[in-house]
Amino acid sequence: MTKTAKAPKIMTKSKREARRAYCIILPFFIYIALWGLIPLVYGLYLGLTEYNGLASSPKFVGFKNYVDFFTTGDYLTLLWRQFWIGGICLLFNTVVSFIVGLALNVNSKARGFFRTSVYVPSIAAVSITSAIFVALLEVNGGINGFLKQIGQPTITWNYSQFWMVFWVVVYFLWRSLGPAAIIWLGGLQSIDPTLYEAADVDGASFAQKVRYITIPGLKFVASYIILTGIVGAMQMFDIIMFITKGNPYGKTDVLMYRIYRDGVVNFNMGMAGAESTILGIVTIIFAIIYFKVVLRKED
Amino acid sequence: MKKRLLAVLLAGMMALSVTACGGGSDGGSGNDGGSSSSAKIVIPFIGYTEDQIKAAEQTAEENGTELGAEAQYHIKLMEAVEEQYPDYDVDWQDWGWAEALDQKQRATLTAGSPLDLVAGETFMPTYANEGILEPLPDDIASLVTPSYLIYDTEGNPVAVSLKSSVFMLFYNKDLMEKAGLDPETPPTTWDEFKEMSDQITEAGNGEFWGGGIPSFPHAGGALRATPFFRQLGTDFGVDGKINLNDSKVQETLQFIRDMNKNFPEGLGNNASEDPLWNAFQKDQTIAFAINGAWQQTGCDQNNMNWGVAPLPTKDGTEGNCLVGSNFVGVPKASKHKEEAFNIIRVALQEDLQKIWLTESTSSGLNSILDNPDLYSDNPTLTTANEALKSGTFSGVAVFPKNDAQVWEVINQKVLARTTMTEDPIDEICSQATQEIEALLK
Amino acid sequence: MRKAGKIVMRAIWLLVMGVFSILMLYPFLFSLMAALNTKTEFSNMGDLFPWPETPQFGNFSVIFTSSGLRPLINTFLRVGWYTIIVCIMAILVGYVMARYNFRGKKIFLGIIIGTQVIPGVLTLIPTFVMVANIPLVGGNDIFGNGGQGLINSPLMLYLPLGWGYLMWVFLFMQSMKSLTPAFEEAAEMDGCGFFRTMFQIVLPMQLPIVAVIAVNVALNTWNDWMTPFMYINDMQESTLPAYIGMLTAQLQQFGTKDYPRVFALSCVAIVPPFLIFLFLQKYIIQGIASAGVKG
Repeated sequence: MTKTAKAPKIMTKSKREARRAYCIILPFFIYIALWGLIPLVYGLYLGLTEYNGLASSPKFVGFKNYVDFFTTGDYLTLLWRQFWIGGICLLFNTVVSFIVGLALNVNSKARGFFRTSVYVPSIAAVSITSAIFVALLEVNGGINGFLKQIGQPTITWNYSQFWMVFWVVVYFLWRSLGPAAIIWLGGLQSIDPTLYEAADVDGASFAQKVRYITIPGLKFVASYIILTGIVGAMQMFDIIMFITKGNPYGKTDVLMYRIYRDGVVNFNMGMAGAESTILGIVTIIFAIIYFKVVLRKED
Repeated sequence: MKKRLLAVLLAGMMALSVTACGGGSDGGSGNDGGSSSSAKIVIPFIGYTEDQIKAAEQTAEENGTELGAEAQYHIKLMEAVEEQYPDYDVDWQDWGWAEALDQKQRATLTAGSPLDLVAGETFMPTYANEGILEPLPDDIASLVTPSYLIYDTEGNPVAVSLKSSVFMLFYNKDLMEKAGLDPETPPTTWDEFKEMSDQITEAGNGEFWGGGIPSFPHAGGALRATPFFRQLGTDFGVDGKINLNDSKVQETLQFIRDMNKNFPEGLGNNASEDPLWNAFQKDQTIAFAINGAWQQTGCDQNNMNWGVAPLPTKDGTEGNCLVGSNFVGVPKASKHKEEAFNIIRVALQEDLQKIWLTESTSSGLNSILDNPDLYSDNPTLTTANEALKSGTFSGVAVFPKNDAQVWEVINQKVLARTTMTEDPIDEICSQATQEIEALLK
Repeated sequence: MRKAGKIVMRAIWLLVMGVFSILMLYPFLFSLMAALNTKTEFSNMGDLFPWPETPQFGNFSVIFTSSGLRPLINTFLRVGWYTIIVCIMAILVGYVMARYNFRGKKIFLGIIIGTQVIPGVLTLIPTFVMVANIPLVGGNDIFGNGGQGLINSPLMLYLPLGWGYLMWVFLFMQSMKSLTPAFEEAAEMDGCGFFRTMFQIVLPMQLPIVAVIAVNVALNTWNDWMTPFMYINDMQESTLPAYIGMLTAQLQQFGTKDYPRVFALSCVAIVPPFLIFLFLQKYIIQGIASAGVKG
């Protein structure tokens, strides 16, 4: 990091600064270490124990939880499902929000309203808005009522994995579109307009302009959206918990939801610790792979 | 100068933290965890705090309806406790119900500093099995019928239900008549049940249906399926082991699957039960409903021409399951056991328990059960109380480990899957057994 | 010809975006209409626009007279407290990190940046166990055993957990770097102390970024239903979004449902963040945009 240029370098001053700096930031970092770094290490330990009561002490069982994770099969299915359901959410969110970002990059008086309406769903918590979707998706709910009105056969949403995942993705999009679109928009607006003018002068086609100006200009924004998206999607469970509850018959259950239930509902802390360690590591691996791919392209 | 600013800043921060904490903890929090010497008794009373009673009263007033038995009972209970034990400082709290309540109670139970009174329905036997509940004093246990008690592994009664019901078959006489059936002879056997229901569904031709056995993907499904298992002398779990590979279990599941065809698609295994009950009582498009005694209120409110009968049986063998119970028990780790038992004593007083009768909910008090004059004019209560007197029932089966997870598998991956898909039942059962055995290990 | 094409394009754009915007806002409209129903009236549900015959405001008045009021107040207190302490932390630590040189600065910087990419799942469960085992509170002995720690303690509403808020330190630090230190140095020459320099010189110049931090922290805190949901058992001691979360979770559980009540609570819970958004939009958007574009 760049060092701030400092005026006269007197020994006593830099010493005084250092002392003051420690006085201010050490308490904060100690607090953060307490609630951030210790749980991280403690979680690794929990994964090696059997621990189902908060009052008793964890019992060390070695890698039993990890062996269970990889041998019973259920957990691997859940991990895979977390990956693909989260992946679909992320994919659609990235693409659709980019289109919306493009559509918002137009000078118009109506833009403010459009931007607001796209963004508003994201300012309300999942817990506040998911009941709306639950009500609409009831077997006799609003959407089936609408289908009936237009003379179509109704659909029993909760019978089918496809439809439940579909609505999870729709809810995810509805809620996450806004911030991503605004970031895309920020990226689009930060591209120097003279580049396009120069390209026009050179007679570049629309596709060429997108290929050689827009995409390179958005590389950083894209990697931010996808990186934070990977971390978010691999930890998504609140939508599943509220909208599908894992139904139909456990076909939309994901690992993160299982971690939550194992940990806080069933107090199977050891297994929950092992599961979260694995999910955390997988997430970081995905992030690193993505980072490496992007970096390689850049070279 | 510098110091003064610092002091002001620190004072400000402290003031803020004090107000912030004060704001959160006023009104009595209940986290004193027992270490304090105050006689504050913390009780999760199933969605009826003083605030919520106020809300219920207000809603009733606005809608011009009477206060429900549940609210009336809790108001009376609070008044009675205050009157008889004025020195108790009872903190009535709202911890939700069903899974949410279990989760929160368990957090405090496993932490070793539980509430002074725990409550619940399907998960109370699990608490009892784990030996975390204090045996009830004899005078409490002898007040009620044995069905209303939960016993621990040593055979001591540890929890008592303040109200309960058994499952019954409610039927719509109009729909039976429309299908050419005699509205006064409800089905008594499985075969009759299926025949009649099929006939009604056929006659309804997409307008109305016969109705079957609900298989909701949560405790609501397991509770309604259990009586039919028990009629064959089997259950989901036997001696703490999963029993899905039993041929009788699979026979019952086949019956549930066959009966489900008499529901409109998606109604019998929906996560929310309300659409089914609405179809039965409000739209009146379903002829048979398996439900607890509270169904009567819904039928009467909607001016339905209804009847009630005991559940159809396979070979005349009885089998049922308690439902709609509100079990309470006192944890061994409670610091105010005697006070908590006193509150249970108040909750079981006859004048309070009679409130349940107004909503056709059975009281477990022997003094009420043995006095048919109190309920003989009510067909639902008569049916339910006859059943209660004739046998001993319990709630759903209990598993020694990971009980909640095991039931989740049963509810979602056995019951709901049986009716949602056409997958072979033995395959459903063997897959679920495998998963459950891993949980029980 | 070209101009006509442009007008058509613009009309199509307006139409498509208009329909899209309405679709995005529709769920809120549904929730508001449903909240005006009584429980019995809403039980039919098969309507995309469940406008009641006679709108009932009973669901709303219940919130303000009883069951929802305490959680609502708790939410406000929690948001206020978090906003203040996170801002103070971001300003102090961010300033020191940007201006001072000291040994180990790189390590601190590494922590600030590194924690942003560590998934929160890694600490969810261990933190829960740790909270239950804090020594000497909630009936715990000195080793943290025997009691429930801070589980179900209202204090949990006001105890920041994790490291998410380090992002705001980073933001303030970056913003400080784009500001010349000349003013502060001049003030220091004049004998101004540290805090006076901070409040009289630095803060007034950095107000926009502080606003960005405050507004975003307030929004995030308002929407953090998970922490109260996990740690607070008595719903009356919890926050409104957590309370609604419990009711929503119960919609698919055993028992009967009261949709209009959930929707009425939701409508109330949406209002404060919506107002913040409406009037302080530019700070929110600047917050996410700067996070994304500056990295």
